[in-house]
Amino acid sequence: MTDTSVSRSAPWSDRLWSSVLDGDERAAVDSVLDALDAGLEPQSVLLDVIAATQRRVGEEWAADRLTVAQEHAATAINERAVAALSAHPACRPGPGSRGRITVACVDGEWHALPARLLAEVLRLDGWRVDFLGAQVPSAHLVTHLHRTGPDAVALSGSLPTRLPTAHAAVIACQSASVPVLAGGAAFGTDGRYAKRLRADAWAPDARAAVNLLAAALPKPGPAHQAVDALPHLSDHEYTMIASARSKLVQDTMAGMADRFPPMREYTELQRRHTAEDIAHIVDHLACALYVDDDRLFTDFLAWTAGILTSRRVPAHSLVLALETIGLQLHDFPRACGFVRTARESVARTVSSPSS
Amino acid sequence: MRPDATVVTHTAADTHAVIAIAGEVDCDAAPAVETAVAEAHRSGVRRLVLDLARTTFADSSFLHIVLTARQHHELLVAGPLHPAVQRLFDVTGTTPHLRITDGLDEALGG
Amino acid sequence: MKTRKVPGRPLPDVTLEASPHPVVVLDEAGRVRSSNTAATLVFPALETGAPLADGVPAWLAEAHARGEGTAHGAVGDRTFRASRSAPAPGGAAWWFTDTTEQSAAEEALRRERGRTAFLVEASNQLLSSLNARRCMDTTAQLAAGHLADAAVVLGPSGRRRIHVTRAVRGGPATRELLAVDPAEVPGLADALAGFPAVPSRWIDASTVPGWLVPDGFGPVGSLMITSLPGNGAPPGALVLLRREGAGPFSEGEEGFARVFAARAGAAICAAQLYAEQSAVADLLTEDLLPPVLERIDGIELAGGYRPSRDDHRIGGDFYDLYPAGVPGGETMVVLGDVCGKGLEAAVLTGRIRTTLQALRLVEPDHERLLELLNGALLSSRHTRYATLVLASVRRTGEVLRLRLTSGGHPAPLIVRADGGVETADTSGSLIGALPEVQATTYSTELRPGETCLLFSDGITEARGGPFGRDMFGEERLSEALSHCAGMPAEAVVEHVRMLASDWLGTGRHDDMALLAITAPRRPRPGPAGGQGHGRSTA
Repeated sequence: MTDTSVSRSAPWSDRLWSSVLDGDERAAVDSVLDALDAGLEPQSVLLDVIAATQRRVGEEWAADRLTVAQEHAATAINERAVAALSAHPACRPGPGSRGRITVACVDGEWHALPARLLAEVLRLDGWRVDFLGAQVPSAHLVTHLHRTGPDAVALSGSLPTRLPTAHAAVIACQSASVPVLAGGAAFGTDGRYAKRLRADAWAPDARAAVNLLAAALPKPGPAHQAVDALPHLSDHEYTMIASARSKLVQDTMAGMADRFPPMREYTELQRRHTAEDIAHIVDHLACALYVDDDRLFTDFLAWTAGILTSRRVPAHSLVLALETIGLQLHDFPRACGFVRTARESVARTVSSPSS
Repeated sequence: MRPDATVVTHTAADTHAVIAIAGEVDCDAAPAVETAVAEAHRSGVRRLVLDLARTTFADSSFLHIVLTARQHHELLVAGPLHPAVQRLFDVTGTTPHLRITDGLDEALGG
Repeated sequence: MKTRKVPGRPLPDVTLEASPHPVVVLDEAGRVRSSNTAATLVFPALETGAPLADGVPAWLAEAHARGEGTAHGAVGDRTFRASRSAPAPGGAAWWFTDTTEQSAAEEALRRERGRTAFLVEASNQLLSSLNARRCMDTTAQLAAGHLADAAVVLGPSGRRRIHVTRAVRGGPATRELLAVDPAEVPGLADALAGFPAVPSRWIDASTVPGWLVPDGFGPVGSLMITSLPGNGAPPGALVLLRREGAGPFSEGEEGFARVFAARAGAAICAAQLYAEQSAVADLLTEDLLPPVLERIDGIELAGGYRPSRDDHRIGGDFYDLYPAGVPGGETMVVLGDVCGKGLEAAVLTGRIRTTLQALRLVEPDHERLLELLNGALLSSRHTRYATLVLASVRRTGEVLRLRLTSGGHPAPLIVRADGGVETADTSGSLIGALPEVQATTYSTELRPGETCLLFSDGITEARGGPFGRDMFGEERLSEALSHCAGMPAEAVVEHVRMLASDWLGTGRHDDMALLAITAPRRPRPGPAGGQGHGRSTA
């Protein structure tokens, strides 16, 4: 994104942002169409105005200035804006002669907007695009690939906990000889997990994806099995911890209550929230074990600590949770190591809070 | 991993077959029930009793079996029904179309 | 004759002479001291007393000069391996073994292995795709890469036109639909019909028509044609092209090309069968996919559908929309759940949807409508049934008037402007399996920002949560909805979908369907909206 496109789009994205905050769909649609009429490139409206607004929505939620429900309302309005844009004459897609691309979200991934934006910019760039939407099961994706024979699949994932599912999707596409371009936060800010899962290409954002595909289509990697790409899976730490998830959560709850008696007085709601938080931690640990990268786990804990802090919830509860989880995992050396590293990292942030 | 429902059939007399189901009946467990019903059908008994006293959950796959069985047999459902099972019958409006008893004895005695 | 090996004693010439292996003995200066008959047969130019280099090929002379202990090379049309020994008092003796047969065998083995590896690789590539066009492209590229300089795959000949896929080694495959006559190429029509092709050497390459040859290929030196065999009728033919000077196709090469063609033909056939099957399935299911919901008549609608992973694109859940027949009339939506899955369920779903579409125009009363539907679906052959919810909606001013009727389905939930959630007071019998059905209709109004949510039990019975086995349940659904007051319909659906999805984690689930009916929060003045409304209808 060049400086000019940022400065040109800034007033429009501010306008869109206000409409989205107001929940005013009409104003939101007007602002993107006005931006188009004022001469902003369609790609810029999509990526510098709408995507920028969506990012802001996420940031505001993280900072506890927007509720989850408001986040969804905002996303819905942004999606309407995308729809209105693609119906505008200036955004008529080309003849699709570049080739054919399938854009899909990993199964379980319900953030469809980033993929939707990518689908639109690809259409504008002359590709014929099949947008399959959110939560596409791998089997359905493969059927679609056999039916349509696209030149590539763009696979979108925002949640790192979907990485094992994403891997299955990558393998499925490669077995059908279709190359996979991975994108989205799930694959890491530098695409490290895309590489680990042997995706054929990775792009940090939609613009990069469009340029990458325009330059050269990736070649599909050979069909492989999960353990070929991730040999550490043979120690079964991932499968065992994933399958023991419920027990882990339950035992951790009990263990935490033992060490922090006030937990026993928790209301039903508080108990539930605690259980959900512990479950999220366990899920991220499992995924970190899947890709064998403790950074996935540590980054998640750091992010969670930030979220808690912005909601004025003491983050040291995380340390207690991690210690208790660690106690259950003494048979799993890799998992223990990850938990220990994460615990030390969170403990450091908690004792010397930076912001 | 959820335990499958256990299905046990026994014949109380030449005229009855009793199929007792313990646990949860969803689309995974339903085939076992279906098999038991089919066997009862083959054995030619007049009355089929589904003993659901220990059934903790049932969904539409089970309901389908019940409705089919009802077409071919004199069907009784022996309770007492777990709330989840009662709710299944109530919401689908099948309660008035089933003979539901409070217990197994009642189902056998009639 | 047993000879005791005494170092330093030269062997008598008679032993040398008896050996079938050529032996050449040299003195310290590299001149020939003696050689046996076998050697003179192989190296006729050898002369006693002359330098080695005068009587043997360069490869041996150079090896000797470099002081190497072994060497190998050709002599005439045979190949030999040579090893040197150093008999005392000095000089050297070169011993030769004829390796011609062995080399030929090794070469043949290497070639066979190469072919096997190629066939394995080719099979992998061909079988990975069930897309017929992709298979033909792959066939042309593989053949051009390994069997010839260029390859052309011809699709089954249609009435007047034929698909022609060409590839030159190292390049991509290109495809065209051409109106050409295969009879222009001797043997091609036969190959397309599945008959054995003529041997390559009988085909005059100069008569090859231009349409067969890739652009810029140059003159064709030789060509080979084979059928691509399939189930019954062959899916096509394969033509291999070699440039001038590349040599003709040998019988062995033709045989190998046919082996490859057999695999390619099988793969293309499988892909075509798959395409036919899925085209049929697609046709059946296209109509059955839930419609994309938008704003209609001032009513906000949004739907979410997530089929069970286990199966097909179509599952047991469905929803549909029937716009008002007249302006200001009622729009009807239905959300339902058919027992069973797959095409069987899909067919029942289709019947329900088309029956409702027809009946609802003549019967506005929901209970009566469900009775009629029930009658239409009852069958003595099976007890397949459906549960469903009907919602008739009409906008009056800024308020939506709703009539809700459940046919054996969980009652819809309504979230009010203050965040309170109520269950619609409607109940009824499932449809299609009971002789009589009854139902009660619940009438209510939605003020701006209020939403009525229809849902399938795939949502409420989704198992997961932090402890893994709990059901999502109606209570959690109500609580989720309580946060959705004032939200647009899509946001409500999105919110519930997210929660259900997070609840499930990676667990298995049944079909999940949602449909939200929302009274728009800022009602628009009317159709005169003008710019900025994109696709939405006023």
